[in-house]
Amino acid sequence: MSYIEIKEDKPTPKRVSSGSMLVDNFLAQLKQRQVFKVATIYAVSAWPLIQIADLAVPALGLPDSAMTLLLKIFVAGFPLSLVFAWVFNFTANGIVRAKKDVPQQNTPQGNMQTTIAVVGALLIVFTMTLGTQLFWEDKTVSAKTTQANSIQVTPASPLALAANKKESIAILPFIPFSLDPKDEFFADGMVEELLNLMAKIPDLQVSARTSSFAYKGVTNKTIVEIGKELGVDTILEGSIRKNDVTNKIRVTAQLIKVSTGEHLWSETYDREYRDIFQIQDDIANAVVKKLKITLLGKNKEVIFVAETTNIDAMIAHGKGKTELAHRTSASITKALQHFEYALSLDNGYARAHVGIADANILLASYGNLPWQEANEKAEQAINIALTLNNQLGAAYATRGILIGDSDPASATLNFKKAIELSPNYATAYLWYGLHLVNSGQLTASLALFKKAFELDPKSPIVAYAVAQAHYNTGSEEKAMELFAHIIVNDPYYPGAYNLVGDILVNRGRLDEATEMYKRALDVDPDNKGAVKGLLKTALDLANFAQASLWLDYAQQRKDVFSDKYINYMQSEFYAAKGDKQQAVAYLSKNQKKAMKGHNAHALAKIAFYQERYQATITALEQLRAQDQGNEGYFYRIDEGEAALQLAYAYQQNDQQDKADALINEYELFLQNGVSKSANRPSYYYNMTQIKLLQRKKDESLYYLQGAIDAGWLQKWKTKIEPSFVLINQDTRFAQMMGGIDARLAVMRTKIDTEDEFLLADVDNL
Amino acid sequence: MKYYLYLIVLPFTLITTGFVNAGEKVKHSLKVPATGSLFIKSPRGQITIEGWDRSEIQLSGELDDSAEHLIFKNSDDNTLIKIMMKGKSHWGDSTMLKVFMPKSLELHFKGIDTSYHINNLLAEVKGKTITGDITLDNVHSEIELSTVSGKVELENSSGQAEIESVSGDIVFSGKFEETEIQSMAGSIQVQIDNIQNLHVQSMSGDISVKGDLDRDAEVELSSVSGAIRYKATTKLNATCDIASNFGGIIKNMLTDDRPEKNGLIQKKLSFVSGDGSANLTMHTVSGSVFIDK
Repeated sequence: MSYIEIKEDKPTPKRVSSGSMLVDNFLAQLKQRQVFKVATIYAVSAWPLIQIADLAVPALGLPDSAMTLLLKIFVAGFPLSLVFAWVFNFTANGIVRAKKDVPQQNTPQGNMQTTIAVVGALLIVFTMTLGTQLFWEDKTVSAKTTQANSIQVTPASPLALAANKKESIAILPFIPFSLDPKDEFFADGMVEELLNLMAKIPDLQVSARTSSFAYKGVTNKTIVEIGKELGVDTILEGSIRKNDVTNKIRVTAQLIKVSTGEHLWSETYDREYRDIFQIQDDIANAVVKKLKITLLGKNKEVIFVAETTNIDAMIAHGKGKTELAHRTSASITKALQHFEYALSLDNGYARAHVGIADANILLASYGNLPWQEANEKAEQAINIALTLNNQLGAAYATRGILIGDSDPASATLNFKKAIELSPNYATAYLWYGLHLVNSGQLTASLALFKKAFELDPKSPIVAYAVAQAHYNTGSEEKAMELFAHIIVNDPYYPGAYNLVGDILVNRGRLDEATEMYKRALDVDPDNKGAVKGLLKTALDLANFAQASLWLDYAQQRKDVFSDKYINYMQSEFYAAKGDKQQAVAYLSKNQKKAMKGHNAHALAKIAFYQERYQATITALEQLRAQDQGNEGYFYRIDEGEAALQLAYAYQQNDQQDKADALINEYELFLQNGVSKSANRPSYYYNMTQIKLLQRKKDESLYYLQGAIDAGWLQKWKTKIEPSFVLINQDTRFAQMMGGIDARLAVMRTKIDTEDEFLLADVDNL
Repeated sequence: MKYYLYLIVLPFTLITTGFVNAGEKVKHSLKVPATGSLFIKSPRGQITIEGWDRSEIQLSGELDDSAEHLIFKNSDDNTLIKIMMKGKSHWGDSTMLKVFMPKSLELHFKGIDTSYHINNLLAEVKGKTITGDITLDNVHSEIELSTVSGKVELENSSGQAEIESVSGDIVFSGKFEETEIQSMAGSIQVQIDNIQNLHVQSMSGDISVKGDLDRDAEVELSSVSGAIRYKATTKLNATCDIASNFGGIIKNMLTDDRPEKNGLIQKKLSFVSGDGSANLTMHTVSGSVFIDK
């Protein structure tokens, strides 16, 4: 580790002059007019209120912008309070205009009045700000409710939706007493249908399928241990014995209280095979009856209607759900086939139509299905599902994710409707959370992800979303805790390895990151995140030969990697090589004219690297205007790149005032979140760029060293970011880059030797 | 004499593959030479490895419910234990194995959610897991361990060690000539005992080092936001160089020297304790540094 030393000018002794007398007089006036006192009271009072707001804002379901607004008001109020203190004084006779050279009487009553006035004013501002935000939030929701469409939902905030706590149950997979795999699928299908039935009970929280099925075959854990891991009050378990000769079936089921291990109920059903749906209803009713008496304490009648009466359709749907959970291109394709088969057996099976829609949407994400085609198919399937059953929550959740980009307000209503109808459907919370991430509402999205996690603690996808949200909000530790949780539950979920790969890249541990991405690729050879990670890691390592190989790898898989995706990777490749022209050429191939979201940012990027600064400003200002009142969103785009490029473009376009305002605001944003981001390389790197824009050479070098110490190694960026011109001839900068080169060389060697490590040479003994 | 014995034994044990059913109990053994390597690969479970003086590798325990079969075979001086899984399935109970191996054999292992407990070995030990824990006791050799979120414990050992973790904690003690420890979010606890060169690096995890420095020892501890604590057991004979670059606290309870502000917000402290023969460097970006005895 090395540092940059910053020379400070030593203060020189000053002669007593009329100037210094003026200063003395001014300070005396400040003291006499109680300006110092007001400043102290203001600071001491504002601090706890900010702390309270930090807790209250998320708890009230308010957006992050509410906190920003309050901070701005408090900051703006500070000079105002000082001006007020300068002009007026509190005296025993009330508020009087302060006069020069008339000393203020320092009475206890006056002091108390001053304190009460400042604290009172801050409290009023605090209450009004949060109250107005709360009122506005509710008004916005109800306005959208009336405008968007006819969906009727309770106007609850995402956090309120996520906070609902009920009695809970997990239904473990029933054990089939047979070695025939068909019987296992049958048992799984029956349990899944049972889960769907039970999930409809409004006062009961039912653990999701993924979580319950994680305990399939586990014998080294007691029911009580499993119940505690799943965080449920009761567990339903059982077995199935099928006799193919007599066509009879015996189902046993028992309900166990987790806290005591007590058997609350058990029953054996000997029936005909075709009566399986009746057995499901009987079990569900018996459990409800028992829970009603012993746990819920309520008297409600629940009518169960099976979603299909075709056993094979039920089994096929279960297989589809299992495949869908892996989130690989191949598994989603298999899932789609299972859902299609289910529908070929029972076209009125609404949930299988939802499966078709989900699989199409996910294939566009994880595979190479064009978005337009995927959306059309999904929309068609969802419309059929809702025609068949307009009370199917899962269908509304899918419609929400389907229209999220085109109609965000309607999407929100669909998610809320889904949660209202199916409060146990973890995917609804998950997708609603993702929808909020896209609009920059990170706190609210985290609450929804956590609720999904509560319902489905063993789902790798849900745990990944929570981990990613923690990472995005500044907690690597919490993200890593969840990583371990994901791997223990599903070592074949590639997203988890990509997450750690991303964290390690950010920390400059590129050799280990490479290993993680390769692990993800072992699990899923078509994983886009892994290939992108490997490419970017190779570029950061300045290993362009290896990066070319990863580009070839993607190009050979055109069925998964679209031209658009490859163009994007090509642009990254050339940017890292310092070839801006080629980078822009590839990026331009993808762009549409629409000034929206990622497209606006890409258009701005193209314009920026072509040094068309007015066009850069136009695109980025539009992007900033789309911020939906959540200021942090714009600053988070590409880890601050958009804000820094806009500031630079202003400077180049002779709009220095705008540049200064933006730089100051962005610096304030970074400093406000400094406790969360102080150990992140991106914080120090962005501060480096801010100091470069402010033409503060020494400070920029100081922060750059901080970035390197925190793990920043993207040396190639200094060649394409124009602001680095200020320091790139400096010897200290050269030393830093030399240090990075040495570290990169060590990591490249490690990766080379890694390929020979361990079992590679003995796997084929 | 031993050499001729292997010439007789090896042809019989050249390819010995145990095919077993999932979840099944296993017990196998193979005669092996006193030098060479044992490779173990198991995606999940717990594997305990014990060094012994016999020229034989013996394994016993229960296989994963999702296992397809076990490979246990050798060729020349390499032996492989590998649990083959059924596709990507991972249901049911995981593998539990106990392995006895000649203590002079090198050990290389790999796993995902696999914990390895290793005792009493004298040759190179290299291994990686992702979420599993690794514990080494009484291992005297070149050691290279890596985990992502598992815990690594190394006790009563010696030689050279390189340990990497992302979020797992690392607990380390022993007599080592050269040691490199790296973590990101996990805490690192080191008990120094005749260490010559120690380099510890952490991002947000805390570093805690206790013990006295040998004459001419080089100890370098660095973090980004994690706290660094060094505590001498009796007396510190070292030239100390301490820095916190972005506002952390430097607390020296060992001597009367106090940190100075340098530049923007950097704090630096340099002093000599005792005869100053060793070098102790403690640098952090924004964390705090404590030195005590």
